Amino acid sequence: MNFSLHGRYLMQQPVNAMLVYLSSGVDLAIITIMVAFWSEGQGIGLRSPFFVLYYPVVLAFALVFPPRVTLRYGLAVISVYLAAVLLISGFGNLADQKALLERLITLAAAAGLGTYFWRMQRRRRKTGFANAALVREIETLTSSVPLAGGIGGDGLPWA
Amino acid sequence: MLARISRTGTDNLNDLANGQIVIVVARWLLILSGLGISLWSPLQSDLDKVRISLFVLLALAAGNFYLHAQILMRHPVGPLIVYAASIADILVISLLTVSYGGFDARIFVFYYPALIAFALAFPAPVTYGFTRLLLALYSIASLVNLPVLPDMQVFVQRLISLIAVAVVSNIYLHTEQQRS
Repeated sequence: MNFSLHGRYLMQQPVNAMLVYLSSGVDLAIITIMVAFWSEGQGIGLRSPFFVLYYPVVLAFALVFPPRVTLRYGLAVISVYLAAVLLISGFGNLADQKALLERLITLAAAAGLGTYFWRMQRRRRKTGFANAALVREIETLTSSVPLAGGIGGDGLPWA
Repeated sequence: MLARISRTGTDNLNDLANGQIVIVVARWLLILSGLGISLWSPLQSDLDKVRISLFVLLALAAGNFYLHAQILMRHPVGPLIVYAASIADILVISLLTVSYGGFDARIFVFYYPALIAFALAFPAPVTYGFTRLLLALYSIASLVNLPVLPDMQVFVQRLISLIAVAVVSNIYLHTEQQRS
């Protein structure tokens, strides 16, 4: 799947947003299945070490999609992870609850920072386009009107 | 050539100035959640660790308040101070990781927002340097209690996910720079 997405990108034929949403959903499902079923000598649920894989996935999504979509995806990731942990490990002791809260906060932070930067870049680009349009307009105006030694003889175009 | 170098340098400084707010926001998040979690029903045996946490988090808050005030007054500070503050973030998280048990410390997850913040703000060579520093410090902090083999796999997994976060952030920054 990723080979196909990468290939399309390199051929400058990027896939539509729906397919990217779908692939991000598949990422979320695969990581959650690993958290729920693959112990790797540590345990499952809250003890599973695979939750760290959520971070790059959430960040990449937040950097690419608008805040409203990222909010939904971020909430989906947090809800799915929380549900998996609560179903498998329960509330646990105080240390477990603190660990869970830390993970949820940092996951939300990854989504939040990504989306914040996305908005900053979008604003910058808009300002850049506006500035470029203004410069083009000034250039057009100044090139169509002689600036010196023109109409009135005193060098002023409006004279 | 000189003009291109100069323009690239100016672009990097502009990116850094724009990205400072991301770093400051990420740091507030680290400070507030660190304070909240440290003060949430601490055990009697953990009081020393809580004291260390409060001390370093309040020091970090004082520094971040200064940086945030500079940004709000539209006087973004120079790159050296921003770099020093980011190194302080990494050192604080590593110190807390050591004090909470090294590899077993669950506080390592705070490396992620710190890493995202500076990878989105700093140019690629600086990000690579900072990421290497972060990985080295986390490795040293984890070696407080030497992991056994299954733990070593988990440790490598954590390092890979940290690298992935830095790479994703920096690729995005690079793409945006090319577009603008």
